[in-house]
Amino acid sequence: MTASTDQQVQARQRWISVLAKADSEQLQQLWQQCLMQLGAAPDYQFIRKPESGLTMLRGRIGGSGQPFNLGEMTLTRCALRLESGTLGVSYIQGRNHQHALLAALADALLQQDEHDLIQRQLITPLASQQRADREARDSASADTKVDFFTLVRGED
Amino acid sequence: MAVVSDQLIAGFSDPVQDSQTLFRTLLKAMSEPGLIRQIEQPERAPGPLSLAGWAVALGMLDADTPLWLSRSLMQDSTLSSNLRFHCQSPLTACAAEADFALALAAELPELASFNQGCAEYPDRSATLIIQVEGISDEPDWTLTGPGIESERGLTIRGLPQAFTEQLIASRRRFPLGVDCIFVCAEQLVALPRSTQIRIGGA
Amino acid sequence: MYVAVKGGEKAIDNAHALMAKRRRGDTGIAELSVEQIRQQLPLAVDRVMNEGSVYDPQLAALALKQASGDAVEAIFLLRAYRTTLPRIGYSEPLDTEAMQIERRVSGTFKDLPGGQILGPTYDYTHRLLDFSLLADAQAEGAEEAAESADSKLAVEVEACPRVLELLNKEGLIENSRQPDEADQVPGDLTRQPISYPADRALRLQNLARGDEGFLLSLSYASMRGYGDSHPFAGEMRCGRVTVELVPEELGFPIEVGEVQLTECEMVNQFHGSKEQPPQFTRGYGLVFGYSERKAMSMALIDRSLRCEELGEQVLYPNQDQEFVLSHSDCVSANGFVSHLKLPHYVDFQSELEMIRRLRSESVEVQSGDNATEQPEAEA
Repeated sequence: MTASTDQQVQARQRWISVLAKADSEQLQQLWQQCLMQLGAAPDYQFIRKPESGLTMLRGRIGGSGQPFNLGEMTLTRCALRLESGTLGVSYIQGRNHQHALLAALADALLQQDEHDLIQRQLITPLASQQRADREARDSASADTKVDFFTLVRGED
Repeated sequence: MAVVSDQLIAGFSDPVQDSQTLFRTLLKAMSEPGLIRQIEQPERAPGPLSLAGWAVALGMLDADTPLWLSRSLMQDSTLSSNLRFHCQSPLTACAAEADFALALAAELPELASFNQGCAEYPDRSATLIIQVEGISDEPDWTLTGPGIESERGLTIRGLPQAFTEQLIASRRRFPLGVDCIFVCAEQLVALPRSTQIRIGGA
Repeated sequence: MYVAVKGGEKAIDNAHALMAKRRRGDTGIAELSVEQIRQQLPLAVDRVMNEGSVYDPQLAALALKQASGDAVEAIFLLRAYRTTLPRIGYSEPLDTEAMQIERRVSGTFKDLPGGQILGPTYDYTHRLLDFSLLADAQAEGAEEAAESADSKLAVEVEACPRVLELLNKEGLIENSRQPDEADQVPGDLTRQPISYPADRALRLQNLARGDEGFLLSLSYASMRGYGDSHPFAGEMRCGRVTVELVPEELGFPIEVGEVQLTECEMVNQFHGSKEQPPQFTRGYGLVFGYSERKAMSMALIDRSLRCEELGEQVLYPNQDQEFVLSHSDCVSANGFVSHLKLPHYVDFQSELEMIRRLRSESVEVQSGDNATEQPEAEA
């Protein structure tokens, strides 16, 4: 990523986000389909095997003031290098090592020739599922929005 | 300096087991000062760093341990990339702020520039990991103190004369002072602040 | 005199086996899965995550199962587990303004931009036991809600700016930061023990993992005359917030997941001091999951602990940092109280002997007095 442009960084941020927020089971299923199209599972070497730990979540005093440490969250990370030399990394909420491994593999493949395939077969369906889930939650919340009735008090 | 991703190498092959083994090795080294220990993992080290130096870094450093590097180590992008990737230690240019220092013996600054701890918390001092030219049990120095039954011989090759003198003198400020880990290839030896050093054999 | 107590291993093993049996209950009834606890007792899970200070619903649910539903025991288990994990850095400060809102209410402004969204709440329920749940039937409301959610996918939630910023436009409330103030690295009480006085960032970290009941009672007291607190709930919001961090090897922020949070801002009147004009001041609460009671209590106690910096007198325990912060942790408190169950045979024996000696001495003194008096009496 040494010569990366802002656009490349933004594109990578987007797919990293989608991979991190993906449902682990859906990721597995879609990955199996990707594998069929790739022909063979890509060869890779671990730079950092999937490792679970804690990251300290920070809030801000009053929501927008100085940072403070709120409490920790479980996190799993992984880094690997494909035979081509491309480095893939993942940082995933929770403790699912397989999820972290697949996300790191996908991150690496998305930086090279396999980009279009992985984007189409993996990222697009995951992203549309996440969008649908989000809309469903918004819709459920919107149903509980209050309409106040204010009696006319004869001020006009 | 950004992390250069194509210079990253693998760390411990089994992070939990290997870092516990390393910790155990260091614990033994610290409790029996002057006894030379061998490390088993990892298999590769980045840049100019020795295997033992890399093992100590992987086992002991993390995001909560500010790290100071001596000049040529700081300038080596392979080493700093791997340190930042695997250990996540914040690198500091100010030796006094560092919990750990990683240095080539020839590049050591004055001992007093490292954190010696304070009277309330002597344990908050720095730990120095010093890469030297050679370590042997020939009695260039004679060591005495806790963890040594009578006395023990040690030779550290390549340590500047001035630094040796400062280290010996620093023992007068005990319990303040720094703990040293000398590394060379796959060997390491520890000299905690409680160990007295006398130049010459028994 | 020190006597080591040995033995009892067999009794302990059997006691553990009995505990496991009791935890499982009647084996004729299906075992509760961790996922069921996570899905169906989410508020208990949230409490364990908060006071255990680890956001991981599955681990919190597991802890609850293992602890037979005892929240404090489950919190202890989670705290113990967290010590086995490495710390992988720090997140970027969470942006609660960008929260995907599921619930948002204000006790100070009726018509606030974005509106009042009730979300899932017990607030307006009649506290009547619902015997349909006893009959293994699905509660009536649940299906209805699910249907209406499916049928109205197009409804949008409007942007919900922070309510208190409305007051800020008039300068009637204190700023949460100065415009040119740079971020400082906050202290971390899991790394360095608290020393007093503690700054506000450290106090908030302590309160966020503090015992809900303790903070609730203290905040109640602060409004009932043991404090000078006349608060309003400026805003309460619950929802999902994206977690971002900056890995060293990338050098740019990435999203790693989402957490459910509850945020509460309390508004308190402030009469002003020599330096500051009369204005409203704030208390802040931020907690994991759906934990409104905890968030409100935290915000109230945050405000009462600010008394010194605002030039108010410290008169009550809820204004005393050391009292609040050093007694808020349920793991510490439980540990100290529970340790009394451990063998104190020797300590107690020595106290017993001392009491006996003091009593016999006082009897001797009395009988001695009698002895000196007796001859006189005889005389």
